[in-house]
Amino acid sequence: MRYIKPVTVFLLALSLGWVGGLSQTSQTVTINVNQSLYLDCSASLPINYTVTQADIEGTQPFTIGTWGCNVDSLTNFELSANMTMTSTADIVNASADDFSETCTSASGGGSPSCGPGGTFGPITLGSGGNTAGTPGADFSGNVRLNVSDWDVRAIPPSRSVSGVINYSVTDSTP
Amino acid sequence: MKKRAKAAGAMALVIALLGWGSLAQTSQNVRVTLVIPQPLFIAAVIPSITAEITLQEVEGPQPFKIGDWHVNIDALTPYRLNSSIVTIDTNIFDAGPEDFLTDCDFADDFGECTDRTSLSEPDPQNRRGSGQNTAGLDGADFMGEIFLDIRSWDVSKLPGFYIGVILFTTTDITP
Repeated sequence: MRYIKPVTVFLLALSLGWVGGLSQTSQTVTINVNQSLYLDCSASLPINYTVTQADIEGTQPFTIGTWGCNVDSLTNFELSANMTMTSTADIVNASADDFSETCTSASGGGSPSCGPGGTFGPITLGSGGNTAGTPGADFSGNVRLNVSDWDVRAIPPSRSVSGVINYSVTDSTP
Repeated sequence: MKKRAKAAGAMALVIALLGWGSLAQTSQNVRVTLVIPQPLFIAAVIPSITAEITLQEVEGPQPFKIGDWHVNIDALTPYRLNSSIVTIDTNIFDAGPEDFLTDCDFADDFGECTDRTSLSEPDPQNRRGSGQNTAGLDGADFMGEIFLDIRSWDVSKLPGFYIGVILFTTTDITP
């Protein structure tokens, strides 16, 4: 027994040394990005506009409303718009290319900048980059109309035309 | 060691970036509705004519000029312009709309004159001209002169007078 105690003490020390020198652990980090672009065009209110004599005499195109969109982004992006006519029966020659949009302001995060806008079909209103840490990139501008090729059917009754402008934001990373 | 590995696994941190409430979309639609209550507007630039018949006019060729007319038209449709005179009051026997004639000798901004001269007959005899969409322009101006032929008149009460109104009308001619 006198010999056993020293041997036990030696084995215990060896065991402690083994464990101390090779101890390991790990931490796994998983990040899911379900969506990298968020578009909020709630500042683009529906437009209901009555064409007046002053509009007819004035410079074409003339402003019929405004648009505004906010983009939150984790990537480079492009803000675009297009228009689809839903009712043109009352006016010969009325079409989406009578409508246009300008971008007059781009501010906020992601170094946003205005695009050229222009006449519908698809138009580019602006672009920007990652907006993390900011309330997003704000874009705004005007919705315009050119009636110089219209032929309004005989009145009464009052005539109308309607359409839908679709705003979209897309990843522009090459 | 296996127990410690499991423990480490249990510590795994999972961060999920989920949708941010109502902003979770990349496309939105905005409705645009335009109402056109009136596609034709007409304004008389010369509001009235007052003429006094002189001896020279009685002796001169008939009809003779008594004034000018000028209207401005804003249009969102092809149109025609007509004008007719309506007698309001007179004490002159046989004086009437058929004594008045007119012409159209100027039209701009896509307007065109006709050579018709009647102020008393229906279209197309009383048609002054036609035009198209004037958007972006200051409106189409039509101008001309107004003539009077008094060969049928019998003025028995003095002072004789004739009061009439020239009515200018625009009509949509889209087929």
